This record gives sequence, structure tokens and C-alpha cells, in this order.
Amino acid sequence: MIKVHCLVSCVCEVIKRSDADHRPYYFGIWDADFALTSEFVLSHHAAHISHEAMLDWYRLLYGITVQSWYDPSRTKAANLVNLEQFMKIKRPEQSVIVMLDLARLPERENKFHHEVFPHYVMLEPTDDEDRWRMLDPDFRYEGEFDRTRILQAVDQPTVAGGFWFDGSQVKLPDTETVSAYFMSGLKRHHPLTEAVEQVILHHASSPERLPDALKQLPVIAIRKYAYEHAFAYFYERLGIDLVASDFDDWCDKIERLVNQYTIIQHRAIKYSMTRDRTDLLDIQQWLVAQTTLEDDIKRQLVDLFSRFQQKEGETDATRTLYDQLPASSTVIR
Amino acid sequence: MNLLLDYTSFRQIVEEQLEVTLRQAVMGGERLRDDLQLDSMRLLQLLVHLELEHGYVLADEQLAQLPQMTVDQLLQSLARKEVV
Repeated sequence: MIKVHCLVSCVCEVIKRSDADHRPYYFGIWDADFALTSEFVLSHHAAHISHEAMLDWYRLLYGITVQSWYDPSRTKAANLVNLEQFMKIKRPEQSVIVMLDLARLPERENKFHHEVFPHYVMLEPTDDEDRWRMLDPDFRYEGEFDRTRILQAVDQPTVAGGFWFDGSQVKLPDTETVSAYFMSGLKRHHPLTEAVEQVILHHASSPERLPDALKQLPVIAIRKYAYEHAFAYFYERLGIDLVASDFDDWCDKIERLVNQYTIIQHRAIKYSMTRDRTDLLDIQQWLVAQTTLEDDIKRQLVDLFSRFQQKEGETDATRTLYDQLPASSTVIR
Repeated sequence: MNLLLDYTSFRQIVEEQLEVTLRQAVMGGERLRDDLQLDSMRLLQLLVHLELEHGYVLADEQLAQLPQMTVDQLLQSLARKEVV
């Protein structure tokens, strides 16, 4: 399991323990929202990013309503009290999710080594009321902390948010809803590559802040691994053998897509030092390569989706969308 | 295997360029991210410096693996930049 999106990982944890398939929920996560600040700095998190639509689809797919316990209209201190009270009374089947600054917990892995790292984790009480168990499915981590250490990491001005849900009744997602969700999340364009291009262009004439502007690119780029879940889901639903088919080839392409963002980041750092237009041109060529590669991946995915629809007898409902997308040149083997 | 950089030179360059203090003796088996605490952006900055000032490059295909590399793996993967 690869880290893709922390909130998605949290809510999928209960799905993985059920008979339902969690992979459809990763549809569209490859293009999940991120922020581009007014200074043209990429950020994987911003206060204005809403997870409402994402959680609405979770309810439609799996029948679980995720509610916010965090009240932005109240003070952080009041919200911390609310969290502590809820942790005392919550039932085992209820899951609590909280946003904290992972960088404030140096004992935890912070593989991106960011000074601020907003991150959603799940909390469980223990027999000791001063200790809480932290479940971080995104990093496959589980461990106990002093309650006060966790509260300190929540009590940071850079983080705000939290949810809870009852995961005792997981609904199996129906084909119609899976199809609608796929269509809702499929974008013809590639927001991340476009945003990187905007950042590059904005800083091109004065690139000293360009490295910092792209510092969080790796955190957003790994969301592209969500494509793997979609490919695996459709291949299996279509009865295509993952081992004997070209599934691994597509996984390689997805990995290349992720890794090429690192090359772009490298070139951006280089350009900030050289200010050589040749390096700028090199970046632009890599951006074109990213667009071409992601076009290819999305086309194949749409082909798979179309076949899935035909198999499930829902072609008419999705034909309009399919016709709007570029035709695929790829044959599924 | 002849390395382009020895441990002492590597340590010196890292400390000077990234403004960090490493232990006196860098061990070849130490991992760049988890042991030396060098994040991915710092490592990319280091690579750019090695390329521009020393003419040493890491293949593009290996860039994404850089944080997981050990000191030895990095030093063994560095190659002289081809002058076109």
C-alpha cells in the first residue's frame, strides 16, 4: 500500500476490514484538490480546501456518514476540549479522525521533512486515559502517545479539522454509484502539471524562490498512485488477469509519472541556480512529457471504464462523457 | 570500484552546501534520508551542486530513489557529466 491521501486512507481503513472494495474510492484522487497560493507556491493543504464532496461520495458509495466534530467557528481550545470529551465517550465502532501537525511529533516518521506537515490520523483511547493510540493508515503506522503530545500537535495554528463516523454498517457500493463517482472525478486536463507550469512561469524571471514554491510537489505527486487502484479494480471487474495482462506496464507508467515530477523539481532547483534558459526549456519539455503520459493513462482508464460499463449494461448513462474524451489508441491486451 | 568522491569529501560538501552538521565519520551504509536526515529537496540541491561545481551527475531514472539511497549507493551511482 502506497501513501496517497491521508484522509482517504483514514476513511478507507474501515472499508478494508469489510467485504466492500475500497479501491473505487480512489477514483479521482489522482487529481484531488491542492492549493496554489497567491505567491505561486504549491501546497498540499489549505484551509479553503473542502472535503465535503469527497465525503459525500463516501456516504453514497459505502453508506457511512462522516461528520465533522471540529467547529471552525469556535476556538482551537474549545475544539480540543470537544475532542477530549468525545474520546471519553466514543463507542468502539466509532472512528475519530483529527488533523495534526506531524512535524510537531518528531518521534513519528516525517519522510518529507517539512517544517509544517498537516496530516489526518485516527485516534483511539487506551486503558490509560493519559495515553491515546494513533492509527495512521497512510503511513501504515500504529502506536501510543501521551494524550498531551497529540493535543499539542493538534493545537497548532497551521492545522484545523476533524471528523468522526460510525463504521459498523458498511454498504457494498453499487455499480451505478461507482460509475457516477468515476465520472465525477475524471478531468480531461491535468491540474497538477498545469499548476507546476504556472509556478515555473511565475518564477521564471526571478527564480530564487522557485525551489520553495515546489517543495511540496512530492506530497501531491504521490496521489497519482491512486490510478493503480482504479486500474486494478477495472481489470479485476473485467476478468482480466493482472499478472498475465499489461497491468504492470500501466503501473510502471504511473510510477514514471510520479517520478518525473522529481525530475522537474530537480530541474527547477538547477534553474534557480543557473538562470540558464536552456534549463527552463528542459523543464517545459518535461511538463509536455507529463501531459502526454497522463493523457495516455487517462485514456486507458476511460477505455477500461467503457468496457466496464458495457459489461454492467450501463453504457447509455456514460456514453456522453466517453464521447467527450480523447479517443484511445491503446488496445487492452 | 573507484568512487568520484570519498566519504570525507562527501561529508564536507554536504555540510558546506546544505549547512548541516554531520557526524565526524560518515558511514557508507547510512541512509541519506532516515540516517543523515537529508530531505528530498536538500538532496536535490546537493545533486545540482555536484553537477554544477564538480561535474558529477546522477541518472534521471535514479532521482526518485535518492532519499532511500545509502551514502555508498549514491557515491557509486554518481557519474561524470558528459560534455557535449
